[in-house]
Amino acid sequence: MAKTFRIKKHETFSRASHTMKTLNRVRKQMVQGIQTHQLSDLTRSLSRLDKNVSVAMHEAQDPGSADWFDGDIEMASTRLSHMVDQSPDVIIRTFEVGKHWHWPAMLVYVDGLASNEMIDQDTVQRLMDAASKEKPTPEAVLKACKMLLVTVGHVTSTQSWDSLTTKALTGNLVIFLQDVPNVLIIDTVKFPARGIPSTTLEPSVKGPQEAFNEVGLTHMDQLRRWIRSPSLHFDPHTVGVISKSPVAIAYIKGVVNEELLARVTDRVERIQRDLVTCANDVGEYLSGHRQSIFPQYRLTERVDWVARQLGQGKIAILVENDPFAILLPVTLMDFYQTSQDYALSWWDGTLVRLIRLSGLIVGLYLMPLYIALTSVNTVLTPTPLLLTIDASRQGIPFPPVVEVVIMYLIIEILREASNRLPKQLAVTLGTVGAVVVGTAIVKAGIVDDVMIVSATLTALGLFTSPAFEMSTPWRWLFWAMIVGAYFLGVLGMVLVTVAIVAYLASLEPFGVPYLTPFGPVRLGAWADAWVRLPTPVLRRRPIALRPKVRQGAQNNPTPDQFRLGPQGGSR
Amino acid sequence: MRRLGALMLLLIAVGPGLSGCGSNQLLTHRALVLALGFGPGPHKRDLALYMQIPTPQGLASVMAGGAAGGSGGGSSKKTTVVLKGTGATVAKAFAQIQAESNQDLYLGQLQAVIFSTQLSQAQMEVIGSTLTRLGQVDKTAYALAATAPLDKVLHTEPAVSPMAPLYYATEFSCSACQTVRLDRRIWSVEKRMAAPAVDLWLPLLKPEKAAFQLDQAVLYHHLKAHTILTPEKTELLGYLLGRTEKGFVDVPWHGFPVSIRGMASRTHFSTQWPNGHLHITVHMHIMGEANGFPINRKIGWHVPWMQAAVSRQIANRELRFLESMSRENIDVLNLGEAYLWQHPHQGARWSHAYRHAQWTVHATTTLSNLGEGT
Repeated sequence: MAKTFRIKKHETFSRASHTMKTLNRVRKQMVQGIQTHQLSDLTRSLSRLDKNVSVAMHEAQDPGSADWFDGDIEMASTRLSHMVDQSPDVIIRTFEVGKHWHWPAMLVYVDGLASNEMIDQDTVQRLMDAASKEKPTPEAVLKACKMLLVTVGHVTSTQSWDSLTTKALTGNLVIFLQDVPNVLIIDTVKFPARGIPSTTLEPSVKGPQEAFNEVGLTHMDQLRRWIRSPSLHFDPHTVGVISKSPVAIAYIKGVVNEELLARVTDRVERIQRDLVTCANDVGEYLSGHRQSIFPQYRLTERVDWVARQLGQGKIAILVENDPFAILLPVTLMDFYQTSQDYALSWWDGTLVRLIRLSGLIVGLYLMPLYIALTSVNTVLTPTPLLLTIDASRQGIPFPPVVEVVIMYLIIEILREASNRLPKQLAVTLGTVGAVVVGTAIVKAGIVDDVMIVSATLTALGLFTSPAFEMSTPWRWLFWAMIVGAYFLGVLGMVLVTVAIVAYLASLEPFGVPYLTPFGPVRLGAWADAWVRLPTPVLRRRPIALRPKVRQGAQNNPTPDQFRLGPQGGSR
Repeated sequence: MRRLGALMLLLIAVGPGLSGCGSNQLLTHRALVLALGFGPGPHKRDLALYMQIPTPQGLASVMAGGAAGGSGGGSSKKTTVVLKGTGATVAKAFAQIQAESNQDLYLGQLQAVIFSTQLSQAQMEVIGSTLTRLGQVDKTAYALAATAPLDKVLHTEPAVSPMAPLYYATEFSCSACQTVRLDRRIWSVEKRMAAPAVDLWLPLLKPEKAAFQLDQAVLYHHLKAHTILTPEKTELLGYLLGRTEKGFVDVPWHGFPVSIRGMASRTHFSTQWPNGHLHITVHMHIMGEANGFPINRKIGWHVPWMQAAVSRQIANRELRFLESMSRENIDVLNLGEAYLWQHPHQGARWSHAYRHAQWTVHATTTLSNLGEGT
């Protein structure tokens, strides 16, 4: 408390010093010829100095008032004005409570974050019109105000400046009453927000299409609609010393591993950061392997996916102002699964997962293999294929590795440009890039035909991961593979592969092996890995997550064979 | 980070040790030798080495998927070029060819190695030794023999293939495309060359105007071409080696030639030494299809005698063939290999016993696909 007071005093004195400097400057300029706007500046500075000195003197008389409101609304007004300076969105108004009492009061709220109707009609008007025969004492006024406002919304009170300023800046209405140390806080939060959007980055052919928006409260509401159980818990936290962003840790009590929850909570609480602008700002603090190229958590905008993962025993972290929830702990396999896998038949789910795996293999190995087979291990290439490649490379001035660099750069530039352009233009750019540039570059003799085919397949293959964040490590490791192939051919590729697998095997985000269920081998979990068996078969939660209860709800027994008889009855 | 640093150091340390595992060379810097030919040189002790290399036009024709037409030195649209070098050793001839080429002669994509039947045993030994010790050679290349001059063989361009050396791979990789599967890989030939008391056989490559004929085999004795089998005898050899896929015989019935085709065989050899003499028994089980039979007759009644007739005919022909091979002391069936594996120092005894061996051939036939349904 004393420290806070010293800081305030220091601020006041520094402002006074600044004013004195202004005065000196003006005095010097007066000699050369005084100007109107300088006089205006001087007047404002003097007025501010006067107020600041008053606040400092007031606080000096009672050091405790630096942290607690003492009932003096004039000082409170000055202090608030000092805190927010000239911010036009913070509204500070004084009024009188009671028709007969005329009790001085002051309200503070942020214009745009709070509902004007609730403030003007439901709160201020009621307080001003209040009529009571009681003698106006601070206690009676406070009691009357609380009674009047109970129907408006959630009403709380506080004496702490920290608390009341935070509340005011998040859309609550704060009412100061003269000589009443308790400040009333009324929940009037209402701000414009995006409606519930459809998912755009994780689309699904069938099944739910709902995505999160930017509002933390809506995140919770949306999840609550999926999991209507008191077991679904949201632990609120605040992250960001300046931004004070609300963060909620969502989990299903009785399913989630308690140790895991405690560890995640601990890491969230330890975050020391000024501002949190997106979920990734939080996520990067949670990871135990911050330098890892592989993502340690999954960001998803799909509500149904978060709900499903919570049911498996995972934890979701919902960050205000970001429509992406953080899911953890994750394994490599998690980045190749989507909600569509479950929204369609298990045959479809299995097929698309295997296609994703094929895409990964093609994307990672095709171009390195091309380099290895044409430059180093020529003996391994089937002769007709090698002759075809040789024919297509006639007159090409660059070695295959340079062709790879050229093609990769073209693809990445096109991709990045498409991302930055409006959707309609991006489609055009993609077509132009793929068709025009692709054809032209072959005709120009810079890159051969086979390379165009492999570059295209590589670009497509590396993006088959449903989670965008998983494509990035493969795009980096692709270059490691290229280097290995260029110097050591297929042997180099094998060495890089071994290194990647060894590294993946060493990762254990939140104690869960990254390669599970393949390393360590969990045969039971293979039922929902690269293949997906029918939903009734998937009864047990993944053992790698160590859920509190492993077994899901008991299945109904297999239904009897049923066939409609010719007369409409069953037989 | 420390672990990553250690990994990088390890890679740097291991890298130079692995540098021998890869030799990065641009494809355009390599002359892909698709066929090698070995023939006698101008002088008695000299060898002539031929290398068939695709031209850019040839490569374009491969990419286009059809024949570009022409080959060798004379044509303006040649798909391959044939380079020739001579010398007492393969290395010397190789060096001569290398001097003629501005690219690295690369043997890793070899499709065929063609041996002239004129080569002496000593020359074959030199070639065999060189091929075995040349690490760069593609050991899966096909080995062939040719009686015609190799210049002529290598300049023949089959009409159905974009490039001559690809013709052999296409033909040999399709087992249903040949009467007898005569494919020999170079690794198998090298193995035979090194084995004692085992003789070599190679398919005979006969160039035609715009194709190759591949239905005969050349039998070698001590690495010297000894006998060129007729197509019929090649078929008999194929039955014994399990390589005949589409054998054919006619069995007359009341003057009507009953055709048995698609014949293949499973053969088993056993040896006995009664009274110190070698007796070799051959058990053959022949499978075939009866196709040519009078259309107004039910074939079912006639199957037993047809099977017996086929068995008898094949057994007799095989017996004569085996006895003639035995008399010439040519063992392409590897019978001596098993004996000498057990008795490594009894080569002379085996040779004598084999030349005077008694042969018995038992054949049974099963006919299927009688065409009754049509």
